[in-house]
Amino acid sequence: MLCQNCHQNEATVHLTQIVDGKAEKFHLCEACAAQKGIDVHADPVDLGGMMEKLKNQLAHLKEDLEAPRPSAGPSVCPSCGMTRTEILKKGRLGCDRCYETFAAEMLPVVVSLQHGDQHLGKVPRRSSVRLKNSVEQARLRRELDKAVAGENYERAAELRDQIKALPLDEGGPA
Amino acid sequence: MSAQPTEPAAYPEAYGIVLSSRVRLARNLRGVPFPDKASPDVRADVRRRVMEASRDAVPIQETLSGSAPLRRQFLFEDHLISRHLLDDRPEAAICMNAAHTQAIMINEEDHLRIQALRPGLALREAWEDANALDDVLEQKLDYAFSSSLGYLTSCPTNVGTGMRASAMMHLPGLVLLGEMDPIVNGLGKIGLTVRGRWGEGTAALGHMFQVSNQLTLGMAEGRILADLEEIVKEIAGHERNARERLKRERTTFTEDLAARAEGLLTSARLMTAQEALERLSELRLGILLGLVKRIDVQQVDRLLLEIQPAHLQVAVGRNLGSEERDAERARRLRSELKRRPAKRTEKRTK
Repeated sequence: MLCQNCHQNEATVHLTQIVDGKAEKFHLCEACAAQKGIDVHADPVDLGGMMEKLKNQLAHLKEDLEAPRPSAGPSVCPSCGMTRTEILKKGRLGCDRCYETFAAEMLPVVVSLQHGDQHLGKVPRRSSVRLKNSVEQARLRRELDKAVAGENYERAAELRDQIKALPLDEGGPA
Repeated sequence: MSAQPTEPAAYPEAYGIVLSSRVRLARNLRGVPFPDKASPDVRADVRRRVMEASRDAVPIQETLSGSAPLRRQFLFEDHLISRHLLDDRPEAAICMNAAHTQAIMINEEDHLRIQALRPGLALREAWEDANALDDVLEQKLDYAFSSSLGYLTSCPTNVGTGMRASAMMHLPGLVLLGEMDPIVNGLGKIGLTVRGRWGEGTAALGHMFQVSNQLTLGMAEGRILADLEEIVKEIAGHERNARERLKRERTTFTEDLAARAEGLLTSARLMTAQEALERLSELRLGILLGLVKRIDVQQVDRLLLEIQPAHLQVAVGRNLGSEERDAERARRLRSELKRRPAKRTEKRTK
C-alpha cells in the first residue's frame, strides 16, 4: 500500500483517528507521518515497564501462596503428599484426607462453588450410625428452620423431637 | 404446504425435544489417593476391586489403558466414557451392562464414575438406576464420605451428592429464532449449565444441548432432580412454541430448510460429520413439524449416532481416511434415507 499523502513510498504508519465520532483510517509513509507531527518512534505505552511491574506482582503472589501460614495448618497432606500450592494451581485435591488437611483453604472454596456447606443427600449404608444420624440431623434442622420461618410451630415441635431422638454417640468411627 | 394455523404439536412429547436423560455419580474409595495422585499399583488395585464388586451388575468389563484409540472413540461417541478417558489414561477401565444403559468408568478423575442413561425425559428413572448400581457397589466398597461434605471427590465442584444429572435436548427452534442466548445466560444464574453436545454455546452443532445441574452440595438428590426437570420442561415448552412460530410465521423458510436438508442428505457424495449433524438436525425439525412425512424420527436419531467417525469405521470394519469417511457417511445416509420407489411414483409431479 502506498502512502496516502505522497503516493510514492510504502505506507508503514497506519492510524485510526476518531473525528466527530467517526473513525478515519490513515496510511502514511514514515517521512509524511513525521511531517504531520506524528512521532512514530514514541512508545505510547511503556510495555517494558508494565511487564516488569506484572512480574513483580506475580512474584509477590507466588510468595504469598507458598509462604507457610501459621493459621492454615500443614502445607502438605500427610496421606497423599499433595501440597497446598499444587491444589490451588490444579483446583483438584489428592485424596479424601486433603479435605481435612486443607479445610481452612478448601471450605471457603467449596462454599463459593456450592449451595452451602452441608451434605443433605444419600449416605452410604455401610457408614456408621453416628454418620448417618449426623446427615439426617442436618436435614431435619433445615426443615425445622423452614417450619419456624413459616410459623408452623406444631411441625417445628415434631422436628425438634425427631432431632433429639437421633443419637450421635453410637456406632463405629465416622 | 400452506400456512394454515397449525394444530397443537403432534409429535411425541418425550422424544421430540428431550432425547435422553443421564445421571452420573462420582465416588472414591476411602483412604486411597484419587487417580491423579495414586501410584500405578494403587490404581491397578482400585480397578481390580471395582471390577470385582461390579461384575454381576455390569458384566462387560474392558481395560481402556493401552486399548485402540478407535475403541475409545467409539465408547465416547456412545456416551459411555468421558472426553477425559479418550486419552489413554493409566489403569482406566469401563464396565457396562449388555444394553449399554449403565456403566462405571474406573480411574477417571475419580475412582468411580457410575452412570445411567434413559431415553426421553426420565431423570428420576436414570437416578434410580444409578442409585441401585451404587447400592450394589457400596456393599463391597468403602466410600470416601464425610458427614458435612458428603461424597468426597477429586474436584470440589462434585463434592456432596457427587451427582451430575443432565438432559440432552434438541433445540433448533430456539437457535433458529435467535432465542437461545438468554436461556443459556439465565440458566447459569440458577445453578444449571447448558453445553452443546458437539461444540459450545449457541454454536452447538446439530442444535443439541446438554442441560445439567451445577451444584452438588447442599441439596438432596431428589431436589436437584426436581429443579432440573422443571427447567427442562420449561425449555421444552419454549422450544415447542418456537417451532410452532417457525412453521406458522416463517413457513417458506422452514420448509426450505427441511427440503434442502433432505435433498443434501439423499444426494451428496461426500459429507463431513459436521454437515451431517447440521442437516440431520434440520431434517429432524422438518419431520417433527410434519413437513417431511416419509422419514421417521427414530431413523434420524439412529443416524445421528451412526454417522460419527468411530461408528462408521467400526461398521465397515477398518480405519478410514478423512475423505473415505465422508464418502462412507454420504453413502450410508443416502441408502438409509433414499426415497422408496413406490412413494416416488405417487409423488411424481412432472
